[in-house]
Amino acid sequence: MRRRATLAGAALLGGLLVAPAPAGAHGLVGRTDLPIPRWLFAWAAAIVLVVSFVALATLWPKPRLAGIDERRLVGYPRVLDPVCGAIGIGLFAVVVYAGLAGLQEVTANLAPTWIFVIFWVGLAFASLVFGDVFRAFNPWRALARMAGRILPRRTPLAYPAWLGRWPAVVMIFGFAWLELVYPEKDVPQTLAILSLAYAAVQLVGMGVYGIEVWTDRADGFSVYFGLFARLAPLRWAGGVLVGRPPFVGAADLEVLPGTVALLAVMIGSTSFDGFSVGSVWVGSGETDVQSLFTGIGASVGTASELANTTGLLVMIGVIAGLFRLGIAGMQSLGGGMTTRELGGRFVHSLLPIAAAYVVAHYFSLLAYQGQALGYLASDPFGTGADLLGTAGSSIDYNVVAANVIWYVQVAALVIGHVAGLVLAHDRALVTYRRSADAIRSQYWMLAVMVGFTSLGLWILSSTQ
Amino acid sequence: MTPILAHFGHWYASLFYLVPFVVIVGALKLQARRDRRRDGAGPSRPDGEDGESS
Repeated sequence: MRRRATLAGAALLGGLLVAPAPAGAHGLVGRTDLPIPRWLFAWAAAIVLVVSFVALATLWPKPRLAGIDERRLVGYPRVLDPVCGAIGIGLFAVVVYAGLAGLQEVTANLAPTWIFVIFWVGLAFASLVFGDVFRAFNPWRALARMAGRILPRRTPLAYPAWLGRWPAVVMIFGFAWLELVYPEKDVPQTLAILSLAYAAVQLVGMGVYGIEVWTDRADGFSVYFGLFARLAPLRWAGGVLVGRPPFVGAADLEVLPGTVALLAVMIGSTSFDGFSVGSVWVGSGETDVQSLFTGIGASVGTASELANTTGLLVMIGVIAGLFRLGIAGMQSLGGGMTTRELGGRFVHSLLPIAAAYVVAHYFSLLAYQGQALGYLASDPFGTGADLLGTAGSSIDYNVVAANVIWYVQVAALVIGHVAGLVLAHDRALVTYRRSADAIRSQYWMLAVMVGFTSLGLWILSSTQ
Repeated sequence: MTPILAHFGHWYASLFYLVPFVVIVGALKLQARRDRRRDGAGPSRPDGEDGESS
């Protein structure tokens, strides 16, 4: 069983890494001028992980993260919540209006940049630093709370336990599909209509099951940003801002059905975002998969969508498979736990990896494309307005050097995976009675972390 | 489909990224085997001798 799992894991990773690849290196981040080959960074990262593993095994003999103390930093007025909610509603209205009534040009309309760069990427970064800020600015939550004050009260239905985070899985996968596969993704009007539809679904869900329960478990974006916020050193706790060591909030993650799938979708979709613009996929992978679908009668356009959907699903499967490999290895130690139970106990260790992948893959997008907000804030609808006097600004592609981007990517991946190892090690000490068993169980997690790191760096290097 | 082996010069560098994973898995399998042998050969030890974890 274990041998099969190991072979499957190696084949899984190997199949991806040995695909035909990088001859030309042309990407959005420009050419790097590194002192050593990129693959040596992967080796160095693996060494860092092994050293971290040994250090944990010798210097961290007892669990420390459960019930770690938080420090009260400062109080804040409760009125901040509705004020932020009103700002969120206002911004949502502007973006939707821009999409519906503004110029239907991707670079001249606020909607595409706001949704794909500021909201999807910028808020993930903000959540990692400042905690769950989206909760306060969430426009549909704010609308539901306003409606709750006006409309007659009714008792919400009990949220089905089996549903867990599955609605969030569907929504995040849907958004990833829109971003990575759907050919009309940049059409402002389409984005505005989809935003309205998304908000409507959330309002219905909150109306049926209750605002906070739906927000915590089913609203895809709330769950997505909320997961990243668990890694932040700040937590907004109803009128009090508290501080805690970074990453430790992941240890309290409530394991609900769909949590493993959600993290696999988060990491897999980010990976495919990088992979799909890399030389392997662009060079021949997409064409090869596409030809399978044109061979059975699909049009070129449909075949392209099917090829990218397949690629996205396969990448999510690779991530889930690697995690499953680690869990299967742990299970072979005995202890009477099923793979589902073990998967639930250790899934929180994937959270810093998801964050690392987001930082590594989207740092350059935020640094460059985020500057577009400068001129879009002055002319959000593409009408030639200059509201703030910044309509003439442009994107400075020299703001961050290509080398700096690469080093940020490597650092993010290494820090994220070391944090994953720490979280998994601490949980193993709680899970296994003997510390020797806990350490042995983490052999497998170490292999998984090295696999994820190598995969991440390989994908990033193929986009350079 | 493009035969994968046709452009070895283009993709061999990707193999270097696979090396750490293969080395770690190999080393861990060896270590796991050693651990099993040691547990099987030595006298049975009471739980927690090497440190209670909770």
